[in-house]
Amino acid sequence: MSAQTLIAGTAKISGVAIAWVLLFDLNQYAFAQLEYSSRAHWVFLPAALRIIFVLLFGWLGAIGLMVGAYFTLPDSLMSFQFTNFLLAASSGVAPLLALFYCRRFFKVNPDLSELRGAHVVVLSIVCAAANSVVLSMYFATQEDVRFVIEQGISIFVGDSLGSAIVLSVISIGASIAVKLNQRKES
Amino acid sequence: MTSSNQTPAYLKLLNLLSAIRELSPLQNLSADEEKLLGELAVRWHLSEKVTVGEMMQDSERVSPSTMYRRLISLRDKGLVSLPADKADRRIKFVIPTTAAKNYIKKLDEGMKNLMQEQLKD
Repeated sequence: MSAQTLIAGTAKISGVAIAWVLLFDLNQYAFAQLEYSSRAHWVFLPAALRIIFVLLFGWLGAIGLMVGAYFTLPDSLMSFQFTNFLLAASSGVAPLLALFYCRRFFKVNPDLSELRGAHVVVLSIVCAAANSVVLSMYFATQEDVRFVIEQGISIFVGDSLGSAIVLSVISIGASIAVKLNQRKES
Repeated sequence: MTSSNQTPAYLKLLNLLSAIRELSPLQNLSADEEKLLGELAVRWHLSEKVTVGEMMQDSERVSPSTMYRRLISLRDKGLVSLPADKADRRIKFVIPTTAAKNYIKKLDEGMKNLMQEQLKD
């Protein structure tokens, strides 16, 4: 592995992690009242980054998500907790697996040239479901089942809504940018 | 086929943004715009150099100003570009963008699937 590749990979991981932390802080500021628990929110904007960065950067994006997620977990910087490590890992592994199978199902090329808007919507929902299921399965071994189910539902809803909000903002912003660019060229 | 690691990141970003842009409510075509795009597809297939002036003159059911507005709308939705002729800046061509080509390709695939189903019956 060349130094250039190592630097590029590190930059991608760092960039993804920073983006996750920033969007997490924005989510905390904007939707603090919609927090279900310390690990589940009814609106979770960073969920959109799972789809975007794993599609763009693959496993490097997944690592960046794990790093960013670890730094946003409560008490993660105070001491190492295995629970926090697992939670952070699921933030990257779950979407990586979900996107791997969805890309094959939709026959999306590695350069994303056959990717459609409908695919992105399905990917968002599958990633939200995967993350919810993985976390719920882990918490089912430690907490009350009813709380786990409620938390799992809030994680799914939060990830789905968060992805919808972020993707809507990006899509409308991109459409407006194209319009302005086209008018400028004409 | 290029592997995921060999594909430039900017190319993947452009394709991803193009896909996300399809979700925008600003992207929806009206029935008239769809029909116009269909007419343009026929002209492009015949390899004609299509100009804005021709489209405005040839329109039978709509006024030239309405045709012009629809072409501008297609341009704003990223389906056509309207570059001026280098020799005569008054002449503007109607050129399909990648989004328009993808849209026409989808229609073509849909038609082929429909015909295959009809033949099976």
